[in-house]
Amino acid sequence: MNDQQLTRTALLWQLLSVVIVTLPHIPHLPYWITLVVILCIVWRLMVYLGRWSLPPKWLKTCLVLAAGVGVLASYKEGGGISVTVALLVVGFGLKVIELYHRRDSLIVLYVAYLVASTIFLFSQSVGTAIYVILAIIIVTSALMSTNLSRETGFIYPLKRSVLMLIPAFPLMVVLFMGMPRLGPLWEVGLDKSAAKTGLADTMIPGDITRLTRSAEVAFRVRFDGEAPDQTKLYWRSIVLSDFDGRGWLKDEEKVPKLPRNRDIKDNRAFHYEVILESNQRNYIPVLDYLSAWPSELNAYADMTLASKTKIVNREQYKISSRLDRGFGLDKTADDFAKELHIPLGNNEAKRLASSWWQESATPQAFIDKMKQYYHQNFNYSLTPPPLGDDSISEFLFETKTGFCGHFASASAFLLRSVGIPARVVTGYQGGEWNPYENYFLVRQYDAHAWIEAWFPEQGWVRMDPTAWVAPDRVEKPADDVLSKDNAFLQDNLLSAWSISNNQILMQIRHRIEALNYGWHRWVLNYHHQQKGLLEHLLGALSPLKLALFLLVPFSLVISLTLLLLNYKKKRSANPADNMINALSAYFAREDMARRTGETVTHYCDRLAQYKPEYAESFIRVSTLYEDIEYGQVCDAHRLTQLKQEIGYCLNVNKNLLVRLQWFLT
Amino acid sequence: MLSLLFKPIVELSERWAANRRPKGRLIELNQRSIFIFPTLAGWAYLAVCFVLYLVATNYQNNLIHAVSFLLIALGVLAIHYTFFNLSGLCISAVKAGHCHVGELAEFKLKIYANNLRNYENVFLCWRGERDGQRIYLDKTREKNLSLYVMAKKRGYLTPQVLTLETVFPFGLLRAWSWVELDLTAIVYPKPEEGRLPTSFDDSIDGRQGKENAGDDFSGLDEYRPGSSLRHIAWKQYAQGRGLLTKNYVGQESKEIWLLWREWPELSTEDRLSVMTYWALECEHHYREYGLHLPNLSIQPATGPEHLNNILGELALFKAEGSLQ
Repeated sequence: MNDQQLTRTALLWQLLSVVIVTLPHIPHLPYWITLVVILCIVWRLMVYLGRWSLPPKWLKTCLVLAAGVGVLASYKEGGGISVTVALLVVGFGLKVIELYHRRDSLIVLYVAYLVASTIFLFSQSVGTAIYVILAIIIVTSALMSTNLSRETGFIYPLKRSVLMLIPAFPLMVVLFMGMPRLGPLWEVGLDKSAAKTGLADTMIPGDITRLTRSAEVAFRVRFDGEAPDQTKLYWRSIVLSDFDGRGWLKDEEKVPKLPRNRDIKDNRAFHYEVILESNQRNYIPVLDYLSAWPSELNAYADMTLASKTKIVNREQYKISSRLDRGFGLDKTADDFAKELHIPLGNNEAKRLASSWWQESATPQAFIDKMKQYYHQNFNYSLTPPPLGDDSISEFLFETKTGFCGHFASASAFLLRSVGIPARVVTGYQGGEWNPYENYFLVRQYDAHAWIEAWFPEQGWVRMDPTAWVAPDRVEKPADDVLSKDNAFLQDNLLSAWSISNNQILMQIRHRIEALNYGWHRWVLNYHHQQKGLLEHLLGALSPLKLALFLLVPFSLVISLTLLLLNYKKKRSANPADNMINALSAYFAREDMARRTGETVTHYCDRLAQYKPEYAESFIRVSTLYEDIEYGQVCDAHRLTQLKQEIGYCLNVNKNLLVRLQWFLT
Repeated sequence: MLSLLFKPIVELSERWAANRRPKGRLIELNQRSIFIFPTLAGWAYLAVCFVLYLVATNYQNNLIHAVSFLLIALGVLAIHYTFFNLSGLCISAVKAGHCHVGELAEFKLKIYANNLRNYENVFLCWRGERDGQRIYLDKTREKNLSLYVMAKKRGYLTPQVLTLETVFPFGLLRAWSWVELDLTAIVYPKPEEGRLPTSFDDSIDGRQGKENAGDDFSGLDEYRPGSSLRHIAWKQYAQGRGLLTKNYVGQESKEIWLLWREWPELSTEDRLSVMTYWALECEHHYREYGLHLPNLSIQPATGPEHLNNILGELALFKAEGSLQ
């Protein structure tokens, strides 16, 4: 049964499904693999058209060997999913050449299912999902076409498989909702880190320019209850306390962990949920002061939150923060050797700081002097001129142009010069509020750097020097402010429309974003909602309830499908019988229905006696019926005649409606 | 060794399946008579679903989870689709064609359905026979088909169980049904040339060239089906006068008796073969011939019905499964 030869329709379907599932992989496959697949498809098409013949066995063996070596050579370092996908694509591409029997096509199609699903490892947008559904429909049609024993029209397998797939979708939804998800069974890595942007562990002023140009989504936040003011949304991610003269580094020593706070029902805390895109690092942006966090994460004394492993997938965390509470109050000035350290160099800056310090009575007055100085001469720009070795002095006295990194770096340095412990914090600021789904969308261009200074009574106090220069940057979303700058989103011209100020465009964009958010929350991150949703639907969970939740809709959908399949059985296959039944139903009102077991001839005779003026018609009906049923001449012409005759008979009461009904069926 | 271990189980399941087999001349397939089990491709499909589930779990990818659930759902539905591609089919035994030993016996069947579903790729074959036929039912609600069985022995030939199977729509499952159709062919002995029966006219031996030399042409008759082609008046046919047969006087008078005792040197089977040969020859030459067997005799006559009668008796003479 298995060595059945493929029909021509089936072959075309195989080729189509190979093309469909390979297309989205082309950008991240070595170009030669695409060429091999195209060559194979063209070769098979030429065989199909009868121009070429199938390749000899030795050539096929050579091709397989060459392709295997090629894949290994193309991926010298780094294995992972890309190699697997490449091998799968090469494999089933080559198999296309020898598509001849049903068995060959099964291998191709099963691999096509796998390749189609791996598209999701590279993109998970709504568009991709629609594409993959289409691809699966096509592969399924191809699978069906191999199981047809005859040449059919090209569309026939598609039509039938779509009908067969329709009931599978509700079943899929039920399984998706109810099936418990397991954690990863073993460590896997996605080697697509190069394409990702995120905050770095170091900050050398100039680096964040790159971030500012990317409109990629960093994370989304949904607040339970009220959200804080936009100006208070400082999403701290990394604390940099080590300054080497040019750049700021993360503290190399281990920062102590923050003890777990038991008191979760804190009325003054903001509760929120962060849906974090993969950033290939450990940090998780949070608001300070942290009061509750998921147990699988580590919170540190510098008020940062980090995952134990790199975040390679989209993750979702429930976090609570107290914005009004200070931290670091238990420390003394002696604890801050690191936060006070200033390397050699930048002497002009040091002199400037000490002159201000002498003039001011309190630290606040010093800070005011700093603010004033920035106000006078400084410009906010995304394309500042490069800085030399004495970067702080050069920035303060010569270029006087920069963005958040420059201001934060210089301010922390000035504070340290006069003995105030200070450090740089990087993270994100603000976010775009989506009114339809009530969440903040934070993009990579919202990345920001600010400073923290420690005072004995207050603990760590946040200061944002950038806000002194360009207050807009904090008060409004970044896109409003930055879009005036030409360098903004330079790398991403296509997304320029997304920051347009046009009202309608803005609304559309928010709608799309809201849809996207729902997609992320309810589909891509469903495993985080699953427990809550099921508990909401079913009350306290038990295995029995879960089993019922899966089984009941499952059996419902299947029974419905079976009913539909059986419904077709109920109808009589014979159109002539249907017409006689209609006739009988009509005369049933006058107590002249056909009796059980009565022959059609006898019934028509009876009707002819009952309505002598139509006798001739009834006789013709009976003759036609006999012809159709027993004369083996059931042609369309006779059926039409019968329909007309019966229609005439039904017209006894000149009822237009009955007549219309009759000819419409 | 292993087969010995499984023998009782196999026998038991065989008996169970045999009891469930529908029998008769008209059979409608239903859940009682349809079996279903995954094919090798079906197991492979399950493996693909499992691999997808593993990938989804390891990469925490809910969309791949969705794909694997979709494929699993489709697999579950395929059980029903495959079943419904067989259920509701009616098989009716139309006719068994008779043949000689060494030929293929033809069994005519009619397949139809009392519903409007399309049936695709249903494979029919006699169990044990290699060749079968694939059929489909679409808008034409019925199919007539012939299945053949090699006749190895004279006597009654009741084919093995008829297998109907289908893997449509996705080849993941095989649904099949075994039915026992009440359809029997009679297999005639294989004709073998032998000595002439004594009552046979010598002239038949030299029939080439001087056909019916001893008979006198007596006129033309209208052609009746079954008349020998040799007697057709081709000249008159060419003149456009229709099919006529030439009549010879004296032909009917010569009766030939195929007597059991005439070939004492041959075994039973060989005797029957020779008698079959001469019966065919006589029918071919439009001679009247009778049959005499130890337990019965048939008066001389001619015509296809008579021939069938005689061949039937020859076929069933002391045959296994015959009523005598």
